[in-house]
Amino acid sequence: MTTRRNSAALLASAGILATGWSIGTAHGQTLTTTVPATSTTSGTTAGAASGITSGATTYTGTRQSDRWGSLQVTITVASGKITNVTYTTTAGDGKSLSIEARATPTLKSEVLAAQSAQVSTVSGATYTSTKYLTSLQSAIDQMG
Amino acid sequence: MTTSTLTDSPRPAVATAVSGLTADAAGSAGVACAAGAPDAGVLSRLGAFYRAQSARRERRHDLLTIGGWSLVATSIALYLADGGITRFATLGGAVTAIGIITGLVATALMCLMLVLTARVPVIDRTLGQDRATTLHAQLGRGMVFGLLAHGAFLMAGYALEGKTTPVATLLDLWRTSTDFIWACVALLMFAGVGISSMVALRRKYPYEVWMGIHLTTYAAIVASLPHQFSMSGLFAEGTLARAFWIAMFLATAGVMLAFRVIAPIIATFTHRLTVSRVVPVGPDAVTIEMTGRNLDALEARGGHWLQWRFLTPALALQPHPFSLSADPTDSTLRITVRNLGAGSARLAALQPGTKVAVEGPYGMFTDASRTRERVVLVGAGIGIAPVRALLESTRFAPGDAAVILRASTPDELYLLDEVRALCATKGASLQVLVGPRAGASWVPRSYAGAHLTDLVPWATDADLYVCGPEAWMDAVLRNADECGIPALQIHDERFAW
Amino acid sequence: MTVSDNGTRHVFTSMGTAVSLAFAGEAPAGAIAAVENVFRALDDQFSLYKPQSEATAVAHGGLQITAASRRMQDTYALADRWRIATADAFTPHRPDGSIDLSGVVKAIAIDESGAALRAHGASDWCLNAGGDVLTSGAQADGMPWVVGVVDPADRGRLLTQFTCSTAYPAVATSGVTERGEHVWRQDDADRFVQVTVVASDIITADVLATAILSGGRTALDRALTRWPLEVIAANASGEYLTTPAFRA
Repeated sequence: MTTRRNSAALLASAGILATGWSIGTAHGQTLTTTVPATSTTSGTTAGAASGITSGATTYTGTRQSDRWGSLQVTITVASGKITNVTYTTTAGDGKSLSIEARATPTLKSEVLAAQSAQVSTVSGATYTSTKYLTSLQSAIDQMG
Repeated sequence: MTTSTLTDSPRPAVATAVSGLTADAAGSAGVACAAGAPDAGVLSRLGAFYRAQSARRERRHDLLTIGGWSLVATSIALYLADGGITRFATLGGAVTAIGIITGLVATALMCLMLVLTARVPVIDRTLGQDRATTLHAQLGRGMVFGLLAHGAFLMAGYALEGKTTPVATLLDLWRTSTDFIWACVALLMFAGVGISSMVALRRKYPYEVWMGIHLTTYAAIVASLPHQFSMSGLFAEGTLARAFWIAMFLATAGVMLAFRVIAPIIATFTHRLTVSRVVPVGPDAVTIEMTGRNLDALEARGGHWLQWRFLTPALALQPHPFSLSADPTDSTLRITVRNLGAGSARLAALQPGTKVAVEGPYGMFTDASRTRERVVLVGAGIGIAPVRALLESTRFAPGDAAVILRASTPDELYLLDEVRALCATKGASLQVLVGPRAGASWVPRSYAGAHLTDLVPWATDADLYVCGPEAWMDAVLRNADECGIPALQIHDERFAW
Repeated sequence: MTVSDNGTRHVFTSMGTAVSLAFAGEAPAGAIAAVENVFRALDDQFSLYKPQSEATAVAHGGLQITAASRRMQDTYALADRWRIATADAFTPHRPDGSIDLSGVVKAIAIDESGAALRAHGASDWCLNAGGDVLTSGAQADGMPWVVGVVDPADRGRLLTQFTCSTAYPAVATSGVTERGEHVWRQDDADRFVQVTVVASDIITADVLATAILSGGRTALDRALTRWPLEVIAANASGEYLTTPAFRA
């Protein structure tokens, strides 16, 4: 009796673990910066693709979690362009913030162009003093 | 009246001197008894009823067991569903993952433990509250170790992932998160409760110390809650896992509130129990009779025990678990108590009119645990009280019940007259074994080597109920095992806790 | 060592790199010397390339941080607070566990130079130490200082620019192309090759540029939720992540 009972309990538990495992591996995709043509939403949270409002679709990315809290990115896409990016984050103090994030994927052609005539100084990865001599910064410094 | 067992089994010659009482029981013919041969139709119906009752109980036990394991499995599955398995790719990640999983399992165990002590009727009717409490203690060990592992593995895992030391990680978290500080406090409290529980069990600390220990656990549980929700992405807002975890805590709290607080309060006010009479029984025991209203609603029967709180200034804070010593009526309850400690001594001085608060009834030492038509009731010392109550309330055809009473001296054969009368009326055989303890044996020296089946040949086909001092009960159960009585048919009531 | 000085721009070497200091007008007396002193003192104490420096003693010479100078301890504490704040994306420790504060010392030098400049009465200047920039006030013609950002694919060209303001006077860039892989990676999946951060002070900008380069997308998202910033991050495939200031 007891062995049958324990076997049943073991089987039930194994089934539950297997279900959890498969859900975990099925939802392992992270949000990519390119919007796929066929909309498949990925995410381990309760929200799937939601909010189809006036042609816009919302995609929820996987939640990045660690002991400092967790972070989840949601993007809204309309007509193939990313129109909104939202972060939902919980910090270690339990507060949850939803912030209109502002770092969006940008094509080089969309990046603000530099007007060399206006530039007074150049920021770049640290250069050695030798490399400085052939750098942009040195050219600007010479011109004064 | 059947006393056939006395003549059936071989008896050592020296036994007749001490078995004077049994001869007396055999000799008294003045009691009317159930006539004639047992009715075959009634028998099989009773048997079928008890077998069905037993099967239902087994099913409940199956479901509860599966439910308990499933809760623990679900807590791990939540983590797996959140992609936790990917963490096992690195050593640091794997150690961290183990830390998280042990925390989840320990918390699930904690909820199970709370539910086991919540005196939930279905658990009481399936496991019996004493078994549930034992299981609670066993899970407690697992839970405390789980929590310690949770802390240790997480600190180690974070240290490995962050290329730093566990101590540095600990200080990090301590400085950045107050929830973490509370979690550490909770862990220390749980460890303290675990250690003191083990110590208290050995030393038999007074009830007040136990209360203090366990109130600390409630504080520890509350302290551990915030970090579970703010420091793990698993339970972040909007997740199904969070909803499940909150539901788990709410259900546990609800169950405890309902059955440990609200139900007893309702019972106390509904039934208005009052002490009506306190009668000495033997040199060191008293029977306390109580009256009340609508006691049928309590659904108490002979064999049940309740938690009694006599509302006098001296006794109000000490609940006592005592078994009923008679089958209840709609308006009366009765317990028989032996003076074993300071608390019990004060009970002898109870005044009629004292109000009584009550929790229960609890226990499976009742007709509800019967599995077949025949029954053997074995009681020693004050354990005879619940045996006598069960004898009155359980059902059997004449000849299908045997009662064995054990005592070191005749003074300790509490309620013997009542037992004798019930046996005569209901058609149960009675054997009384009086004599000093003989080592680890359950019988006196005069019966040395006697097995249960020697005294009751059909014992393997009967329900066996045993109640008495701890060590003696262990001896009886060992003997029952040797006789081949199946475990499902053995029912014992222990009050060590 | 002075590299060049044409009146309004002064360039000297320190901490293994070149420091350019430009003034809107005439450099106040003693201002340039003060800045050079700040850099020299910090370099003497914190350079891991100087065998006599205290930092070398701490990193390799067995000097316990608890026995080090007050300045060393405070700097380490500052770096450690940033480590916590960036969830380990920025760390004062090398993979071998030794303490390396160079990630924060240059920014401290710029920050203290700014204080020194203000103390000497300079209010319109632009200080660039090895690619990390702190500005104050405006250029001679009244226009704000404009900081160009190098194109990681072609260091002779500019990728974009940022117009400084009182709220955003500091621009720092972290990358892998120039001095080799001196930023130790935490997350390989979103490899940035160059990150430029604009913030309200140079230490924040510099630390976060390093943290985001090391910590990838996650670190970027976190940083944006906690500090007011403008960021442009370039990954190895030539894709960019930008905040509005860097978009056309």
